[in-house]
Amino acid sequence: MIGFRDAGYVVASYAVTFVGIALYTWNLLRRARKAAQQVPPEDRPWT
Amino acid sequence: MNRASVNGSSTSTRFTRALGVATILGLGWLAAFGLLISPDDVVQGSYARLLYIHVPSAWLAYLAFGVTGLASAGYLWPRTRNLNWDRIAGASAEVGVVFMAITLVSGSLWGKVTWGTYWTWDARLTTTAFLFVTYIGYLAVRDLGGSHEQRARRSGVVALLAVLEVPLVHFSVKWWRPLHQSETIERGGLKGLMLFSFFVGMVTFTLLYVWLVMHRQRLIALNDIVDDRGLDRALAERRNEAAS
Repeated sequence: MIGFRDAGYVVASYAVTFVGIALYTWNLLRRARKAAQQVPPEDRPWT
Repeated sequence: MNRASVNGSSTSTRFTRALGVATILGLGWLAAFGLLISPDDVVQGSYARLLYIHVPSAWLAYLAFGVTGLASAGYLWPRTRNLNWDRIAGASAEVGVVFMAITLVSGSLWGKVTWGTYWTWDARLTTTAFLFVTYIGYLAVRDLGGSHEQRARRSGVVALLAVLEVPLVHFSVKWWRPLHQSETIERGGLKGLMLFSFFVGMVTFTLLYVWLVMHRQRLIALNDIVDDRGLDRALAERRNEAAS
């Protein structure tokens, strides 16, 4: 278990990583949803 | 693929949803192992826990930029020319930039506690920052406009030049012996639970990379379709104007 004395930088690093990934993912899925509304499912190349 | 497996309002399929669930579980495992279960290092103490996110994110950035280079070559090679290669290249580069940003931030925090500074202009850090800026430039080049084919040709050439920087960054610790430590993993510096935690990070970030690239390249494909339709509509309107 991580010690209290060292926790700040380690937890900050994990927090930046996880929050950064979450924000990018949220933004990507939001843009994807918006674009997908303009293209019917049968026209999508992966379907 | 049958219609039931496709989400009507997104870029998801059954496969990407399953991959997404596996990635979220992996991130939970990574947080648990990285922050709670893994033991402290003899030399670096708790700060060694930064390795489980810093090194996998750096490797995934290398992988992403390598895939961008290969996919660009796939487009530029006449026999395999297909816009899907360009979409994979663009998607992989964007995800690589995200991983590179994570590498720089986590490395900067690690540097503060081990070297006493967030940043120093040593060879590894400088070449990494240069690589990051290069791929931001690559993404800017993709947005310069023109047809999809022009975008693919232009950015393909840039990607083939940019990928040459990856070995420069990786081997900078051997060639210039900077402040940044050399390869811990290759030297067998990790054992037991620490090694396992590191592999949890590698596997999780790899799953995350695949999942993000699949969604991103589908988004590029959707945007290309929307662009083409807008162009077709504009051409039809011009023809109608000319005919009337």
